[in-house]
Amino acid sequence: MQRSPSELSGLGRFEEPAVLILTSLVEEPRHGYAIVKDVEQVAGVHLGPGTLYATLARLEARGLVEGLPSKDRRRPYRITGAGLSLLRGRLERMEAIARTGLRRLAQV
Amino acid sequence: MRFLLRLYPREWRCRYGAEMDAMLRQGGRLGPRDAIDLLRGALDARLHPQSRHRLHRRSRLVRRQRRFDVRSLFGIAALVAVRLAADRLPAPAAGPGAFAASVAEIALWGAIVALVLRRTRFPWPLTLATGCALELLLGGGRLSLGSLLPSFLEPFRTIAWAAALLVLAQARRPGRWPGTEPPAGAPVSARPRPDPPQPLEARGRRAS
Repeated sequence: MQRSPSELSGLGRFEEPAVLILTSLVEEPRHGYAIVKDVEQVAGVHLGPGTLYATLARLEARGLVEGLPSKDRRRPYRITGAGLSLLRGRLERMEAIARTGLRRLAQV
Repeated sequence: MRFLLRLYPREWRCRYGAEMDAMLRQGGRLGPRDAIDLLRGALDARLHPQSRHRLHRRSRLVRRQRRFDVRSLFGIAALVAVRLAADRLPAPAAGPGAFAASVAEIALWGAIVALVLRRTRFPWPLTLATGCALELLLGGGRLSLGSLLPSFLEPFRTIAWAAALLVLAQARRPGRWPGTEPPAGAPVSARPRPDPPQPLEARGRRAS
């Protein structure tokens, strides 16, 4: 399947955690533990610490999130403008796929 | 479980270690799944190091690295030539000054090795000690073990000395994780920053 080019498509197994983390950060800047709790609450997915920081490092290296000054050794992260537009595009594509899938399921 | 953070590379720990440690403390007791996840994360951090610096300047780094390798190879070749020439010099005559001369020779080669390795991650006292140790093991002086070898093995001794130097010279100083830590006390906005404006030239191309 040909995919439209996006910076998330090169993340391999970290692609789905990246979408979850970006979605969590849209609401407000959060540190690692708060991201894990929010993702658990919203998506029911537990992000392990290794996966979380491997994904954060990738997102940060691509300029999609940025670290804020640490508070008590906990550093909050904030989504950037590039991260917002990338997430918007990704979620719109997912929405289109979900809509089409549900419509076809209804015909079964 | 936090000891698993030690498996991450040093650069990674400098950047993320404190906050990962704080997160693990806050999360309480971790299960085996989290331990495996940390192990996979550590492996990934070693195999695929991430930083803005590495992503955007990889080609420049590779070029610089190649230049460094070529430079270090030339340097080692020059050192081998000096070494071979120095070994041809007549040894000081036996006497009270001979021992001091041998010690001075070891220290001199130690200092030369320290100069060769000054851009590596090793601190200079360690490089000096390494140079002296290499000289004691592989040197041709009166106090060196290398002097016990038969004369036809001398070139191999010098080559082994140079190879050890070459290996040590590859241990580059770790780079800092750049551009990710805002200055202390910097004003923080809860809203995401907008994208930086694109150059006018790029806009024109896109419009046409």
